[in-house]
Amino acid sequence: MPDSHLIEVRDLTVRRDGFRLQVPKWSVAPGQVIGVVGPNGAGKTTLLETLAGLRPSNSGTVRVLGRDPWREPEVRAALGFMSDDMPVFDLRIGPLLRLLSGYYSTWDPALVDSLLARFKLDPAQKAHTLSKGQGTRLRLVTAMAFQPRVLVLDEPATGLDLAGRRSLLESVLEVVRDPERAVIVSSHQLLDVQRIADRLLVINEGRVVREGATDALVGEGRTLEEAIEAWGAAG
Amino acid sequence: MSAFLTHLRIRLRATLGDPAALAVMIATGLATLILWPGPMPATGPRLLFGDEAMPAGTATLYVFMWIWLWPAVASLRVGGSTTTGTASVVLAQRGHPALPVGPRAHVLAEVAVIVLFVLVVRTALLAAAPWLHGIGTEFGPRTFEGLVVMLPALVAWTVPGRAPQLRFARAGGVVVLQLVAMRSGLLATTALCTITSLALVGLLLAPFGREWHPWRRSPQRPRSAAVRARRAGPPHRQLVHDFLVRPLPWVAAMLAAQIVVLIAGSLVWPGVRLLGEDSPGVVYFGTVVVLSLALSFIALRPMGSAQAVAGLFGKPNYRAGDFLTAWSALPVRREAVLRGVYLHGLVVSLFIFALALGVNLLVAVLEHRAWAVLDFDRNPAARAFLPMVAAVPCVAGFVAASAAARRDKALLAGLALLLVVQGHLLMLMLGPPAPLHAAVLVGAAAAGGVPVLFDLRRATPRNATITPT
Repeated sequence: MPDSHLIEVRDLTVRRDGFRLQVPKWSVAPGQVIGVVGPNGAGKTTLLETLAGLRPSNSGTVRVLGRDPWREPEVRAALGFMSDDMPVFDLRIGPLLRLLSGYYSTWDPALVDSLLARFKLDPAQKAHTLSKGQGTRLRLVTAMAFQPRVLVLDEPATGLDLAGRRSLLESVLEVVRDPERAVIVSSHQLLDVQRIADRLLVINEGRVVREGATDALVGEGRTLEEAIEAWGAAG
Repeated sequence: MSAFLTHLRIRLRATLGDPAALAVMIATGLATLILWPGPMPATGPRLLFGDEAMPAGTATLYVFMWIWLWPAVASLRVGGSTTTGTASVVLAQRGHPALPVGPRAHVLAEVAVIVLFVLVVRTALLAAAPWLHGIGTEFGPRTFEGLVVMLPALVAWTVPGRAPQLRFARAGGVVVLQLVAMRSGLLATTALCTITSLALVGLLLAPFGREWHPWRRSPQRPRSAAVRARRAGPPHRQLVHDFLVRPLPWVAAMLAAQIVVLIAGSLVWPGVRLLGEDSPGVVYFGTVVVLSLALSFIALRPMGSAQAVAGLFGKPNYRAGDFLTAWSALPVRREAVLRGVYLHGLVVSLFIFALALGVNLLVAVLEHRAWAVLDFDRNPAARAFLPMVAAVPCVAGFVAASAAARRDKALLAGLALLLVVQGHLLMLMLGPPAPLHAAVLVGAAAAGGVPVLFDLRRATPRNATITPT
């Protein structure tokens, strides 16, 4: 595996409940934003959870920063993961973030403060009293606060209003200003994905339909939505 | 008035139409025969245990505990369940809070339902068995006096709170005020009881004007200062710290609370001296109360969160396994987290137990000038209290199984815990052979604490590699 790749996937197969995800070959280089798109049930979440080491693969190889995330969860010290339905600790936001800070040597308190301000979160509020959109914002803060080299976002725009989505896009673009870091984002907000993603991974029914640079795949004068329709991956 | 009568009719019909509610209300009415307070002199109520009068302090403790807790079941039942039907929601909210009934009429109508049930049940009992001891000719005045004394606590339990704990605290606060009133001679006669109770009820209902909403939250506090970070360390060391060291200040606070309870008890009741003949009873009750609180609020709440246990039992906003899943994005192993939860339950409950034991021991030493904690004749509270150490593995098993979303093992541990607490007290009364008593406790401890250990084993080998197939 070239050292320059943050993520490397080879001949990956993940099975669950009669569903099978197959990714023959895929890699993520630093400084990139990768958009993972596809219809509901395509396997996007399965792929992202496998990358984060939250579910095992049945065969093949997954390497994040050269390590197997399922067997070496310590790699998550450099991998930030958020999903729209991921539970968070039932604490007030301030104590929750303070608790999490102990687990990451790269935790950045100044970044946390700016993210809280950007996402309009009150540290005194209890996590379980947050609305869906506020919960999503909190998950984004917890995933970004320790400046992970790989940021994996599964449906990060769920429940976000316009201002929240704008803050999300700004935050993602700030992450990849650091050429050593990368963002993988799965979303049904195709316009947002088209705006920020350098590369796309299009999945349908557990198989990779398209993979490559966004501009080259989508083509001139077309939206990502139109392209996905054309590829037959709209669901 | 019409709103009061309308709500009274609705709640009465709802209670009569629900067999479970009806059974609870009848049982509550029957329970008034066990203990029914009345006017009390400043020295405290007189209570008979068989043919002998209880010590004044112990009698006061029993009576005021009863005043605090008797109305709870009835008022919660009459208030009706909410759609989710879970305990915390029932405690914190009332169903259909938007009914066109003001909060005061709401409360008073529900209290009136309970009063009606008490009157009906006691009257029916008098008609069926007029020979029953303590009813007879004194029935009418005693029923009235009891209701007068109970009224403030009934209202306190019936007023809904924004948080479940608020009802316990509000009712507890009212009972403490009644205790002070008794010590001041304000509960000495029926007339004084009536005046005192009406004053307390007025105090309780004063804040609940028509604008008060039981489910609306207070305005958010202003944003607090920057979030502080803590020093990061190796994740597994942090895990140990968070599960084992972090709860200790709370445990210490519980110890302080226990000491305060004991000392305050000895000050409030001159008949009960901390080192006097009544002290074992006070120590025992204080210990049981503080232990229960400590277990509920610390041992069953790893990381200070109810998430581990609440999710398994359908608490709103929680799902089974949420606690463990919340750890999933952190750089620690699933089984390491579960071990942390188990150790938290084990160490914290053991520590709580040791602190309570220390207080018990201290009292025994001060009272008898000897290390008499194991001398059950001179320190009877220890006989009741010490063997409950078998509850420690049950607590650990329960909290770990709940966090792992293993409902079967959590239920087993919960039943084992119940067996330790209730079975032990039952055996104390029945007096079976000591080996049998010990075997039951050891068996319960094993059943509660061992099965979940299989879930704590490492599921993924460290530094292994995947072999492509």
